[in-house]
Amino acid sequence: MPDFRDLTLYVIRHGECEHNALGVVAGQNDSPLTEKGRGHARANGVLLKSLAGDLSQFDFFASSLHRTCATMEIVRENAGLPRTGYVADRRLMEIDCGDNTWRRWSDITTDAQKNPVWHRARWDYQHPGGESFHDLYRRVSEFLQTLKRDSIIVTHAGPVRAIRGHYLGLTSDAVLSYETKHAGIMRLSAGTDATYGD
Amino acid sequence: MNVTDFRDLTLYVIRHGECEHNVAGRAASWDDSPLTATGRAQARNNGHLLEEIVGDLSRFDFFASPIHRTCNTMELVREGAGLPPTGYRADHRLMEIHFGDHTWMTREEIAKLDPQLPGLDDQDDWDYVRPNGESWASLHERVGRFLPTLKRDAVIVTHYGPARAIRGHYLGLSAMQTKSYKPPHAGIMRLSAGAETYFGT
Repeated sequence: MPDFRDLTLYVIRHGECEHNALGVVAGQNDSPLTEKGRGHARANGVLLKSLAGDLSQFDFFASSLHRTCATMEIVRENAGLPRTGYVADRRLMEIDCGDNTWRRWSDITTDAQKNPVWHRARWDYQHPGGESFHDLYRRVSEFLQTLKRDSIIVTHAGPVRAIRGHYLGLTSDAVLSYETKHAGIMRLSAGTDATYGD
Repeated sequence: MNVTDFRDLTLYVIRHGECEHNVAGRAASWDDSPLTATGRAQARNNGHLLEEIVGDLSRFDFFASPIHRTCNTMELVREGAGLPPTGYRADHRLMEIHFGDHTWMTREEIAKLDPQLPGLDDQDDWDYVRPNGESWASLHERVGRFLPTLKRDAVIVTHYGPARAIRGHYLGLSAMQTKSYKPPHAGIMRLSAGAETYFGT
């Protein structure tokens, strides 16, 4: 089994969804891609083809939630591949926000600031009835250990940060401060990150 | 405050269409695999059937598990019923039982791991927590937290385990009675006025 840090990974966030436009956190719920979000996915497919060239040497993985699989299928179509032919893995799902699901991020943080854990280490703050970022980080690590070849990964904001953190060996602050976008692709290769098309 | 008891509502419950993992005899659980051509046809037919049974669907809310296969099925059902594909809510409490380390295994492979493990549908596996996953009892409990959020008659597209749990909660069944139901990919279960009716099976 290769060390995943020796592989090249192209990491893509799902296209914009209705909950992103509304400013609420979907967590492990889902909402449809907007027209803009479908455009993000199409553009990322074309970009991926131009960046990676021959895609036959890559494995393809998506979070098993609907928005990431829908994005993956649009990406593949626009990269000249059949829609299916990827693996949908639960460990790439967005953080489980529990009772905070479908709330505004600003309302969540206002409540979370009443919790001493939030101030000590935001990393360890657990959403009521859900996960902490630490939990997410661990399950994404389990997924990364299973990779055998260079890969294309379509996932969510939280797991994008976690993949980048594991690959580059970052501190928790550096992991959490990374801003992800719907448009564009992050390439992790030979110990460094590069972003394209954002 | 919940002013509505979900047992006073009419619920149409639909399982996702057949997927590649179903054909392979494997449990995808929180992972996913594509609907087969048969599965897509089952979903469309369930849509036609739903419109035939209900007629005016405008007074219904629509809910699906947020996993790809159930949302895809919901969109095919809605199209088959003459509705736009979106216009439903995807709720995580409707996800399949979490099989943890048993995900993607066949029954035989799970049994081989440890001959003492209860089988998938054995009588005594209700409280058995799968390694890094959950038990039928915890699935039942989370589906039981979803149902009181319903405010109107609803169409629900979900998986094998949650379809059994919804029926169990609605009819007030024991664990054994809950597990005796085998939800099919083709056909619709109606829960209404304290009774179950099956269409298209």
